[in-house]
Amino acid sequence: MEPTAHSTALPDDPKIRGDIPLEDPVAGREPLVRGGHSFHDITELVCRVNEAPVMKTPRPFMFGIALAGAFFAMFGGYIGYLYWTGPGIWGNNNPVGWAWDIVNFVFWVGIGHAGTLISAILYLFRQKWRTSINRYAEAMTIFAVLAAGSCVALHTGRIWMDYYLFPLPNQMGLWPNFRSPLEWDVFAVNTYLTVSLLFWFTGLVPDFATLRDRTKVRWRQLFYGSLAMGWRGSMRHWEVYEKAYQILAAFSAPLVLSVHTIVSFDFAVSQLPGWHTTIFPPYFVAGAIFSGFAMVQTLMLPAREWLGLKDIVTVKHIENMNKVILLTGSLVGYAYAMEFFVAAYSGNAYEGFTFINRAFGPYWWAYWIMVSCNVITPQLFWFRKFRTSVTASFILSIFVNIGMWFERFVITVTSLHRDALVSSWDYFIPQTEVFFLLGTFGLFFFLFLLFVRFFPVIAMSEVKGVMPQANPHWEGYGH
Amino acid sequence: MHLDLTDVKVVFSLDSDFMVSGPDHLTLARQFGTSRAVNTHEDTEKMKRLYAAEAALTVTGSNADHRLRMASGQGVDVLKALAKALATTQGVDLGELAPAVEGAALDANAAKFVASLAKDLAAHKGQALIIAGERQPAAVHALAFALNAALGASGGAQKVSMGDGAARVSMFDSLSQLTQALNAGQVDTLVMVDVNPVYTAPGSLKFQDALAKAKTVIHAGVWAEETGDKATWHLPLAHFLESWGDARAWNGTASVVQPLILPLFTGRSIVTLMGQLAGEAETSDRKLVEATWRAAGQPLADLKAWRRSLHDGVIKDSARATQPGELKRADVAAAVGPVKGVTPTKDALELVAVHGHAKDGRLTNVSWIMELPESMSKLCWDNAVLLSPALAKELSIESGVRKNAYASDVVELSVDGRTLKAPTFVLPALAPTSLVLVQGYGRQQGEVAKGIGVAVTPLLSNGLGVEQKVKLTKTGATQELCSTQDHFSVPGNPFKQLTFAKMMDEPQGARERMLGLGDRPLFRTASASQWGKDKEFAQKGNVPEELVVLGTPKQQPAKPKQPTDAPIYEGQQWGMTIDLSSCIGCNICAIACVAENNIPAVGREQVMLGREMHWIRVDRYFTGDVDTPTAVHQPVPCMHCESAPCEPVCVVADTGHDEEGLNSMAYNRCIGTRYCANNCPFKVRRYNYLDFTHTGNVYVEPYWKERMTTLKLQRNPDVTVRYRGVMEKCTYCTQRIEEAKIEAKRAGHDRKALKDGAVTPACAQACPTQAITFGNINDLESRVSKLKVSERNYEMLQELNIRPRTSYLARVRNENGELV
Repeated sequence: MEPTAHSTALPDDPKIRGDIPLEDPVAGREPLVRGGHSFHDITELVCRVNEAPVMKTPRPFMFGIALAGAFFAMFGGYIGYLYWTGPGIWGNNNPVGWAWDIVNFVFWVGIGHAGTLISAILYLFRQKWRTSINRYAEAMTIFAVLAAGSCVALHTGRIWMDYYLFPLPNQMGLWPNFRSPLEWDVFAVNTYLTVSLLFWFTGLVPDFATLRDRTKVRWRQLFYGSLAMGWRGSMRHWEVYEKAYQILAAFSAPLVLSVHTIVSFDFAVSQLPGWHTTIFPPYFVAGAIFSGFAMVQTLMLPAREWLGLKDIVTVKHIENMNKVILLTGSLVGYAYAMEFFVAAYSGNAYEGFTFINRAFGPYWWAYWIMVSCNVITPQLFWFRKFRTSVTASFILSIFVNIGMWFERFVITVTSLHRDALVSSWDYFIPQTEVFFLLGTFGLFFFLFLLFVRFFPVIAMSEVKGVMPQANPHWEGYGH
Repeated sequence: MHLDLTDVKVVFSLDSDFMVSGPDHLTLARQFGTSRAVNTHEDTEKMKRLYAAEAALTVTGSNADHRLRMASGQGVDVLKALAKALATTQGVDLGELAPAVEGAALDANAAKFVASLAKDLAAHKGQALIIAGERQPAAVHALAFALNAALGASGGAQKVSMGDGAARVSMFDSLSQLTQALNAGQVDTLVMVDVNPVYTAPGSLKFQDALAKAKTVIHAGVWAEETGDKATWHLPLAHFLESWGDARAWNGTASVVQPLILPLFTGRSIVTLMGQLAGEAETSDRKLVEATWRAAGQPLADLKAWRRSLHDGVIKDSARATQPGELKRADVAAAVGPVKGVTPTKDALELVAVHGHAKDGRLTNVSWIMELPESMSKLCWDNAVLLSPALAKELSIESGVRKNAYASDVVELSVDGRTLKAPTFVLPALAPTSLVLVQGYGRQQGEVAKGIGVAVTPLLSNGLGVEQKVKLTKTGATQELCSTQDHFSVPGNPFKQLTFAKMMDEPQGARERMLGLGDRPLFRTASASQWGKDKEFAQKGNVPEELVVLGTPKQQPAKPKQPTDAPIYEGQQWGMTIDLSSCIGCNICAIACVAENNIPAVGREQVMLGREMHWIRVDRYFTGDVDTPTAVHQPVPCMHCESAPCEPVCVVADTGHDEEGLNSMAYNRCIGTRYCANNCPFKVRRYNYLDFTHTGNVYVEPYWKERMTTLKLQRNPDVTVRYRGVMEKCTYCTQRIEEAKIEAKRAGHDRKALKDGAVTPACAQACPTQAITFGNINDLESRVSKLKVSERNYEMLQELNIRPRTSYLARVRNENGELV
C-alpha cells in the first residue's frame, strides 16, 4: 500500500499500517498503534503467539529454538572443557591477560543497557512510544546480563573458587577487596540483574493475568496463574502496580548510567595506557546504549515481521530508535576522536604510542572495523530514508553489533598487547574463543526464544494505555 | 693456559666468548663484570675496557665497548694487523715475529679499530690482554700468546701450568684417528662412556658409518642418546649428582665429588663402571674414590683432611703451579706466517657454529635449558641460521615478527655436498657475510630434545666450528620460530626522521618497528666521559617529581630519598638493585630462579602463545644502527613496588604487601582474574594458563602421572607448587628470607634485624658478576642502601609513582674516545 498524500491520510486511518512512514507531524501526534485496532485486537495479536499449542509451534520457530539450544548445550560442553583444562584453551597470554572473555562480558553488559534505558528512563520521561518495545528490550537486558555474568564468572582461573568474589562471612575472616573495580562489578552486575528482573516481572504481571484468563489448558492456567500472583485487575491492584512500577523505574534509571560506568572502571582505574582514561564512563555508557539499541533492532525487526506486530511496533518506533543510535554512535565517535586528542595533548609517549598502535599497529584491522561500523555507517541515519527503512535498519544494527564487539576488543586487547616495556610485547591470537562467544549467543537466544514463545512480547496493558481509545476524551478525529 | 683479568685494563676478545664459554668463564666474567660496577665517577678509572672482534654476536661481544664485525676467517688478519700496528706504530718489539705478520689487508673501518686498539693496548702494557676464541685456529692462539707476552702479560694476566706434561692431541684429531681405525677394521669392541659422538662428530668424519664397522659397541650414558641408539649395548649411567667421583678445575684444583642423592634408577656411576672395566673387585664408587685419595701419600690420606675436603668441596692447595710460559717467536712465526685469512662473500659464506645454552647438545634434553631464551636472539626451543639484516636483504630472505611468532624463510646450506635445512633469523650486529648457528639442536633422541631445531654438526668438517664457502639457497618454505622477545625492540627512536607517509610505505615489519619506538627511558646508559659531564645522566627520562606526586611539592612532602633522609620505614625493608653495568646478560639468574622457585617449563607451543613462566627475564635491547648497535641486557624481576598497581585491583585481596615491603601472593586465595598482571607495568606477573606443574586436582595426564615421582623430587620443598589458574611472580625468594629468620632466631639473634647478606635471592646468588644486590634498605649501612644512593641509581617507569623496590644502576660504558 503506497502512502497517500498527507492531506487525505489521517494518521489513524486503519488503512495506514505500521510499516508505512508518515510525514511527521501530520495532524497532531502520530498514534503509537496503527491499523485501527481495538483493545481486543491488541490482546489477540500478542497472545496468539503464546497461546498456540506447543505441538503447533511453527517449524521455523522450532528450528530456531533447536539451533539456539544446540549452541547452548555446546556452551555447557565448553564450560566442562574449560573446567577440565583451564583458561589456557584461550589465546590469552602474558601481556594479554584479558581478551575475548572480558570482551564478551562488556559486550553483553553493554547490550543490556538499552533495555533499562527504554523501560526506565523513557518511562520516567513519559516517552509513550517505549511501551511497544520495552518488554522485548527488558527481556533482552536480562538474558544479556546472564550471558555477561557467565563470561565474567568463567574468565577466572579457578572457576570453582568464584564464591570468593562475594562478601560471604567465612572462617578465614577474609573479605573481597572492596577497592577493586572487579568487586564493584560484582555488585553492579548483580544489582543490575536483580532490579531488571524485578522490573521486568512487575510489568509482566497484568499480562500474565490476561494469559491466565484466556487459556483453557490446565498447565497453562497453573503456569500463568502462579506467575500472575493473583492479579485481578482491581483499581487497588493497578494503583499499587503503578506505584511499584514507578519506584522500580526510579531504581533502574541510575543503573543505566552506573553499571557501565563501573564496567568502564575495570579499565579506567588501571594504570595501563589506553585504559587509564577519565573519558571512559560517559564513553562506555554511550557505547552501551548504542549497542543495546542496535541489538533491540536486530531482535525486534524480524520479530515484528514474523509475529505480525507491525502495527504495534511501527516505523515510527524504528525511526525513534535509529535516532538514538545516531546520537549515541556520534557520541562514541566523538569519544574515539577525543581519546586521540587527549593522548596527543598529554605529551605522554606511552599514551601516544598506544593510540597510534591501535590505529596503525598489528591490530589496525580491528580498529578500522570498529570505526567503520560504529562511526561511519550510523551516519546514514541522518537520512530519513534509511531511518525508516526496515531493511537498512536491520543491516545497520548488525554492523553496530559487530562494531561494538570490536570496540571492546580494541580497548582490551590492543592496550594490553603493547604496553610500557617493549620486551613484553606480544600478539594475541584466539584459540577456541569463538565457541565461547557462540555459546553465550546460544544461551541468550535460547532463553530469548523461550521468552518469545511463552511470554507476551508486548506489554499489552501498557500499549492499550497509549492507544487513542484510552484517552477518555477520545471521540475519533474531527472534533 | 690461565687467564687472569684482575689487573688488566684493556681486553681484546678475538672471536671469543670468554664470559660464558670455556672452563674459566665464570672467573673471567666476574673479574670483568665487577670492574664495571663503579659507584662514583672517579671509580671509572678502574673499569676494564673491552674490545671485541667477532662474527657472531656473543654475550661477550654484546658487552664490548668497541666491537668490530669480522668474519671468523678474518681473525688471523685482524690479529696480524694488530701485531703489525703494535710493532710499527707503538714500538712493541716483536722480534722474529715481525715478518710473519705482514700482508694482512683490512678495510678502513677495521684498520681504524685496530690502530686505536693497538694504541690502547700498548698504552696499558702489563695491563693488556688478548683473548683468542675457541673458533680460531691454533696459529692464531699462538700469535695471541706471543703478543700477550710482548705486552707484558706473561706471569700476570697470562700464565700456564704444565700439568702432566703429556702432549695433547686435539679432540677432533683424536676422533679422526678413531674413525680411521674403525674404517680400517682395527676396532673390535668400542666402549664409549658419557659421550655422544654419533651426534657431536663433525659430519665430514661420517662417524656413524664407521661405527657400524665395529663388532661390539658399548655406550654408557645417562641418556641413551644417538650413540646409544646405534650401539650394541647401552649401559645406563648414574647422573653425576648421584655418583661419587673426582674432578679437577681449570687451574688444577682437585675436588672430590659427592652425590646429592642415591641413584634414583639403577644407573652405575662412571667410577664404578670404569673400575669394573679395569677389573676392580670393589664396586662401590665411594670406596673407589676414597681409596684413590686416601691412599698413602695422597693429600687426603688423613681422615680429617678427607672430611675437610668433603666439607669445603675442594682439596686445599691442589691447584697446579703456574709459570709465565713461553713460545719461541720463530715457531710462532713459522706457524702463523702461512695462515691466510678468509674473507667470505655472499656467494661463499661463512658458517659459524657457536655454543648456546645447550652447549654441544648435552643439555638439549633439559626442558629448563630449552626454555631459556638465548641471550642475544631470544630464541628458545629453536635454533636458526642467524644472519645480518644487510645479508638478509641482499639474499631477499624474509624473516620477521608475524603476529605472535617469528616467521622465517627456510634455507638450505651446503658445503662440499653436505647440506642442512634451517630457518633463518635476522639479528643485528652480525658480520655481514657470516651465518651463525647455535649448536646442540636437531637431536634424534631424547624425550625433550628430539625434533627441536637443526643440528649443525653434519655440515662441519673440523673441530673449530667454522666452515667457509657455504652456499645458501632459499627453499621457499617458511617456518615459525619461538622467541620470547620481539626482535629489534629498540627504545629510543632511530627512525624519527621518517615521515608518516614514508612510514606507511614500509613493509609491515619495518612499520611496526617504527611504531614501537617512542622515547622510552627504560634503560639508561652513558659513557664514562658523559657521566663526568652529566652527573644526573641516570635521571634523564624521569618525570619531574611535582608531576608525579599529586599536588605541588609544597603541599605534599617530597618523596623521601632513602636512605639519605631519616628512615621512613620500620623494621627491615627489602630492596634490590640491579647493576646494568656489570650485568653481562648470561641468563644465569633466570635459570637459578627456575630451579629455586619450582618454575615449570611450559614447552614450545605455550611459549609461542606467550605463556613462559620465568619470574626473572633478561630483556635485551639494541640502540643505534642495525649494523653496529649497542646492546643492553636488563634483568627484570618483580619490582615489589611500594605502591603496587597490582594490589588494589585484585578482587579477592590476594596480592598485598607484607610488613617488610614484599609484594606477596597468597596462591590459595588467588582465583585468577589476571587483573593484576594487566595492571603490572613491568609485566612480570606470570599466569598458570594450564596445569603446567601437573599437580592438577582435576586431571593429570598419564604421561605426567608416570613422571610424578621424579618431578616431585626435583621441586624445592620450601616453595609452593602452583596450580592452574593461579598468578605467580618473583617473591624476592621469600622462602630464603624466612629461612634466614629461622636461622637467626635459632642462633638467638633478632629475626627482625638480619645481618646484611644473610638473605641472598637465587638470582643474586647465581649471578657471576654480582650485578644483583639484595638487602634491607632501611639499614643505611647495607650494601643495597649504599647502591641506592649512587648517582647511577634510577627507577624504571618512575613517572608512575609506584616506587619500585627494585631499582637499576645505569650502565656505564668505558669507551675509547678515539673510536666514538
